[in-house]
Amino acid sequence: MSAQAHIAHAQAEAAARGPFVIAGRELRSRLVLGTGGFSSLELLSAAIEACGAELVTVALRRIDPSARGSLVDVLDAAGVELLPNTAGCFTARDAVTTARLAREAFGTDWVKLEVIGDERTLLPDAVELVLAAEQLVADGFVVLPYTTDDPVLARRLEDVGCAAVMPLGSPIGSGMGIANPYNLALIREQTDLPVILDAGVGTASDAALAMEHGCDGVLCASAISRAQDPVAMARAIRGAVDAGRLALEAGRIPRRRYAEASSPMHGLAELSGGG
Amino acid sequence: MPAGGRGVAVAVDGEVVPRAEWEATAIADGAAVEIVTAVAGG
Repeated sequence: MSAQAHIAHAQAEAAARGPFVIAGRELRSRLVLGTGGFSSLELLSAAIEACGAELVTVALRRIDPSARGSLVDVLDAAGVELLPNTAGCFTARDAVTTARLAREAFGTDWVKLEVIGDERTLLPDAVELVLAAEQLVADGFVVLPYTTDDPVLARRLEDVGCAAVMPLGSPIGSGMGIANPYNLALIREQTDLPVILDAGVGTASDAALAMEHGCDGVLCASAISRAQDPVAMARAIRGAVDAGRLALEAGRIPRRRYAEASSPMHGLAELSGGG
Repeated sequence: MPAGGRGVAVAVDGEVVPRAEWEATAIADGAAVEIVTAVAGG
């Protein structure tokens, strides 16, 4: 099979995967919203409504008696499911403890596992990530790991029993889009787990591209919360996710080196006279 | 703290204390107590 035929085949398989299901739970929306970066709870609430997300992430921090309004109340009122993350953890040990605290606090055994290895790029620490995933799976968690776009690491995470893989497109909050679409395609090809693009989306087209590459879903936080108009961007990215998914299912035309006319040559009028 | 402690979790010396055990858990002098809740985050 040629490389192009191979990619087309992988995309057709991705399109045939059907509804968005994680650990047996079907999700209506393929867009997962990260709640970080909104300037107010009101704006967050409006963005949730505009983007239609059913699953939204939260982080866990020391309780702040001076905090205004309750995030959990806002999210409960919006009718969304909480996906706690382990953001800010740099070791497997801290991530595992944070996941256990989240389970206790919110009564969910789902966790978006983040184990960061570098403060400047916030790139995942592959070794600690696999270690934490292994322990959390053994402890009964549904583990959704934030990972690099390394297909081998994605395979390791699948091997230890993760429920999905969440490769980055580019660093968190960078808005650089999908830096290595080839790696993303490889991850898609090799696994039957849900693949959720996490991090790097800067605008709607990045989300559409992720879906066209066969991702099952896209997680966005900064792209929406830090846009000039977060609610309008929430709407745009929702549309992009839908459009990308539809395009995947529709099956794109192959790329060609040269033009292929869509008008027939047969029956072309002879207009230059003489003959 | 919210009624019933929804959205709140406690760790003592790095170990999670389940809500049902809050009442009965004694805190030793010098123990590290962490009380956490949800904040907005990606």
